[in-house]
Amino acid sequence: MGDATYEAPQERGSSWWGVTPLPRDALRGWRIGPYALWVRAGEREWRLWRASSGDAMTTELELAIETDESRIAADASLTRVGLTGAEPVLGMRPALADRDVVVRPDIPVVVPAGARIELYVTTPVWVVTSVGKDGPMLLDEPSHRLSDTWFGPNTLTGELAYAIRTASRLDLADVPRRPHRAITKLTVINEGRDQLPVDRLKVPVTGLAIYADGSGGLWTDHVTLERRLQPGEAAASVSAGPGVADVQAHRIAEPRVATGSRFTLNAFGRLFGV
Amino acid sequence: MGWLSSVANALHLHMSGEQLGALARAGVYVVLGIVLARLAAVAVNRATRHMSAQERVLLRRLASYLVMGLFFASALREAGFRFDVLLGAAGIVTVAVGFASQTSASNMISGLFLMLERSIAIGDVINVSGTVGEVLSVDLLSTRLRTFDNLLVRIPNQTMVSTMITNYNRLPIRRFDLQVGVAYKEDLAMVEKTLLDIADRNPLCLEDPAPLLIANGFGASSIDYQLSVWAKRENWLELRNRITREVKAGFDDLGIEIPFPHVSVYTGSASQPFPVALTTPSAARPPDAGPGPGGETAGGGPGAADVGGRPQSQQDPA
Repeated sequence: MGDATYEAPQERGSSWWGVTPLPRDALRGWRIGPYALWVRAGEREWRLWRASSGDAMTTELELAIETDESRIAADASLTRVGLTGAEPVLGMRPALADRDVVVRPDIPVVVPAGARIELYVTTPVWVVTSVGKDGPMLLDEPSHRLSDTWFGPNTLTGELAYAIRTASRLDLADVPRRPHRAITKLTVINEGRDQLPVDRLKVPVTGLAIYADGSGGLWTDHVTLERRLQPGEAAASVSAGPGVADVQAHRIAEPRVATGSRFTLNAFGRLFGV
Repeated sequence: MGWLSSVANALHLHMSGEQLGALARAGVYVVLGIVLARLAAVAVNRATRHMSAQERVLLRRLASYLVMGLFFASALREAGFRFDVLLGAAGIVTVAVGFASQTSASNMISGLFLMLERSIAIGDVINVSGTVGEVLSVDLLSTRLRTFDNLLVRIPNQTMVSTMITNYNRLPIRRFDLQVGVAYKEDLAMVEKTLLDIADRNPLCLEDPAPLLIANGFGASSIDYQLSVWAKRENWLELRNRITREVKAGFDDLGIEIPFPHVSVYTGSASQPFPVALTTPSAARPPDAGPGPGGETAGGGPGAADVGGRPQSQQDPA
């Protein structure tokens, strides 16, 4: 994640990532969707309070607001970091989840044999804070706590993932924009001889990069999931960029895991959960 | 060598200079063997960082014993020990040692099987005949556990092989079964929805495998349910604590009663309840005199007497 593009706060508009100079010993607060962060950079110690409102749908965004300790949420958790002589500059950047995400559409979508569809799903991002742009990392935590799930044919074989239920919209115009969620375009191709009910999909977010558009929206690489003609065969591939013609986005974070552009072959169940 | 001669003289051992020299060389071999065995163990330890703790310990010991064995054999030969004599007596020695160390040999072989079978590894939390602890080592003769109250338990490998072992660390997800009873008067559809909603809201509870709700039947005092939820192994204990707390809070919010065990007493017929009157203690009675024979009736409509019910603090069965 070293290629993040940083801009001065006044140039960022509604973007919460980048670097922010902090006045020494003063408290500043951020609110990124449900995630709230308060930072005080002292001479020898930085204090970071975090709390989550639990409302995954909120669009709240507050950046480096002057505040005092009485406004810190009562249930906030505090981390003290010993930093002697560090420049009081806070770096923030988004990252995708540290495990793959299993998306379950509220209402399953069916892909007819030989057809392809484009789905848009949004997944919460992790907020990574550091000292300055390239200094020591302070926190790497989710903007919203996700449910755990198991993705595999049985309880012996499989892998842990995060679970989210989404509307899985087919029209990009219907996708709500939230500061703490990144939009992933999923192309599902069904080359099989029968219908493919999409009621569970594993999105390999650990292998995706993050992009930012001009209006503070976050995007991931475009993912294509393909069900092959041969029974039980499927493939996933990742194309660099959001994959949406109207969106001009620049890359701000690298994938957590370098997986290459094509992976998870010959495992239909590992992608579609059936 | 002078000091060696002095020691030999002091011990009234009549040894020639050559014999003393051989003995000294044997000593050097032993010391060298110990040092080199330790170095070999360190080298193997460094070279096997990518392996599991169990495999590393096994290889480390193998290297250490091998080096030490070679040097000890050399030391014995240097000291004049004749191996052909040992081989000649091997049959008799084997029988004698076999009888004497039957249990030890059995433990050693069992330890070998344990290592090969890989059912447990160092660091695993296991349950052996009711003893739960973390595996510290699988040694030649025994397996050592550290219990959670910090006791060291040594279990002979023979016992480990012949008894049932439950390994809590082997699989990444684990289920917790919450047993809960609700009063007979409750709306069971609401109870079931409440339990499943609580599981659904808890982020530690895996969405898949989905939470399972089983009606265990009509109990003596309650209708009994089992809520089975899955969690990541590391989160199991936290889930267990949280889900119990959340079920209690959820039921309290909705006024769903979790009944204590109680018994209904009738006077011969279910339609004729045992007459019971609640009394208020008289001010004149001493506090330890126990309940009086009669008194005022409080809410005294006829009804079956619940003996037990929600007990007073001194009667709390818990």
